[in-house]
Amino acid sequence: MLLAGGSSVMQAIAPMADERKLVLVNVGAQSPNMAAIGKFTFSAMQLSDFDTSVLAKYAYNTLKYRKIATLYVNNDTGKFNQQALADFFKAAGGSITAQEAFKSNETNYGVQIAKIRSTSPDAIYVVGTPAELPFAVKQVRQFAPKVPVLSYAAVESKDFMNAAGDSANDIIYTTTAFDPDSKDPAVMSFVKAYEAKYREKPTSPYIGYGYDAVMIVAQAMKQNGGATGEPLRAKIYAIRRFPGIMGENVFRDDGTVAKDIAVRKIEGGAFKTITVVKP
Amino acid sequence: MLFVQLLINGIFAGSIYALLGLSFATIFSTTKIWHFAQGAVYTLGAYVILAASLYGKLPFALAAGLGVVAAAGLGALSIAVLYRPLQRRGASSLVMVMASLGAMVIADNLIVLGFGPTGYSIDVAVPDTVSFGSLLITGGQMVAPLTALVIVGLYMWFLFRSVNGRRMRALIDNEELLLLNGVDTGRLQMLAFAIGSALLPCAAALSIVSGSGISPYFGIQAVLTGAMAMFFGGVDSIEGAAVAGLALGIIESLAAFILPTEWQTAVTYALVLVFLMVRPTGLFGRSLPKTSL
Repeated sequence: MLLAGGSSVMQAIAPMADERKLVLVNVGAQSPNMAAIGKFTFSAMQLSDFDTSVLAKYAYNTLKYRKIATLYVNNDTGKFNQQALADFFKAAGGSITAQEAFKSNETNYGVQIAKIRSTSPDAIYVVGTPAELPFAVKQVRQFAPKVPVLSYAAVESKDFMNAAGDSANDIIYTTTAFDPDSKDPAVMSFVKAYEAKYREKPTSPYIGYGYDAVMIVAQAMKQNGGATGEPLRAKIYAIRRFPGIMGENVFRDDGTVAKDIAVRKIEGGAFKTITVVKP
Repeated sequence: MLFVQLLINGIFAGSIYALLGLSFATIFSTTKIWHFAQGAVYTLGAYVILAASLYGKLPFALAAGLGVVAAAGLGALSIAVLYRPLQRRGASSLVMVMASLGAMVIADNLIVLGFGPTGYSIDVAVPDTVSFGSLLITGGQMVAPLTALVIVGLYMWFLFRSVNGRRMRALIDNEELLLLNGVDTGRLQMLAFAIGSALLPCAAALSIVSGSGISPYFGIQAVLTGAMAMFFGGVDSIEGAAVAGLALGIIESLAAFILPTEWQTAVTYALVLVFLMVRPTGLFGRSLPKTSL
């Protein structure tokens, strides 16, 4: 098996995995393009279209936002996330005032935020890679201090929090419903083992994606006498429902997975769950 | 109002680009070496500031000073241990470029190994944001252009008033004449590398002051901006690169007034390209560069 992430990387290697009959598990690409990307490819993480649909509806129905602007990194992750959010928000009845992109590894977002600010949005949806996201949020707080920030799962990491500092507070985002403080025995056992090895709590959902991916394949192989290739692929589809530390993984026929999604808010440097939505 | 806000943002970005342009022009015009490893020096300089500020608990200005010293040393080291030995072995300009790019890739990867791929930020005390109606000028946007102006002014004084500065300008035009007058042009080129490199952490520090992050990957963009400013200003005009850098920042920012922001860099570079096709010597250049790959 092979674990990989990144939309463009996945698109490049999925056909190769098919050729070699190698089970490939996506643990880092959220693009909706990951659906049916390859016969041997499974996504252990929920794709962005469901994540962002939950956020868009929450922003419109609960937070009562009517106008949203997007600030995004100009790569697959940024483009897909922001467009999905814009489409779902418009479908809910809202409007999009601006959609402004920045380059990968860009460090200055003043121009984009100035344009966004001139459209007076109720909130700004920010999406970027770990190299940009904290600084984009920091500069949104500088140039548009009163405008709430919405974002996505990448904010839920120690590195993001360290780099963004106090600017991270009050961000509302959606992510797979992983709770390291859960009393579920499987989660408790994983957290205990993780803490013993890394001397810190697993805060990022991406840690859980990787763990679940390995456990899913291991369970399928165990029930299949250790067979790999086509028998392993078929076994994963035959079992279809796998328990995981991030809730139950239910694979669809296109290789994507359905998981519970949590709406969360960063408060005082902690990630607080507001609500959990079932797919 | 948006136009004025973008102009303010452009002046801020342009003041940083001016320093990047000065840096690239100082090294290239005097040595004719395509020193793309400047990107790595920019990144390393920024990480020295980070380490001194966050871990060494030094005041930001002092940390920036350490970054300047470290970058100057790295610049001098680059010519001494990388380019000079290659030149002695008769390496072509293309080989030098490849060596330079290789050095940048190695340095960037070492930074990722040491500090991880995620960026860092430093909170610097700056004046409060000032607003005029819907116009906002952040503390960083006030500090950066003024500081850049002082640095450029000091450098211009050095370039036009000091003996070594005048020699450096002479080196752009005629190295042989300097040699005939007994000037050690090798030492002068090393000085150019040190000064050009020392300007990079200044640009990085001004960027950090404005709330920008420090990332292992941001050096390449800095070096490309610096190179573009040099060509725009004129390859044989160090001071022209500063003016061109400022102009680039303003053009890039104002381009967003009529176009989506994802096009602003492409439009800026396209405009400069068209300008150079009409006037290949750049804004202030007198002759075309005497170098090739």
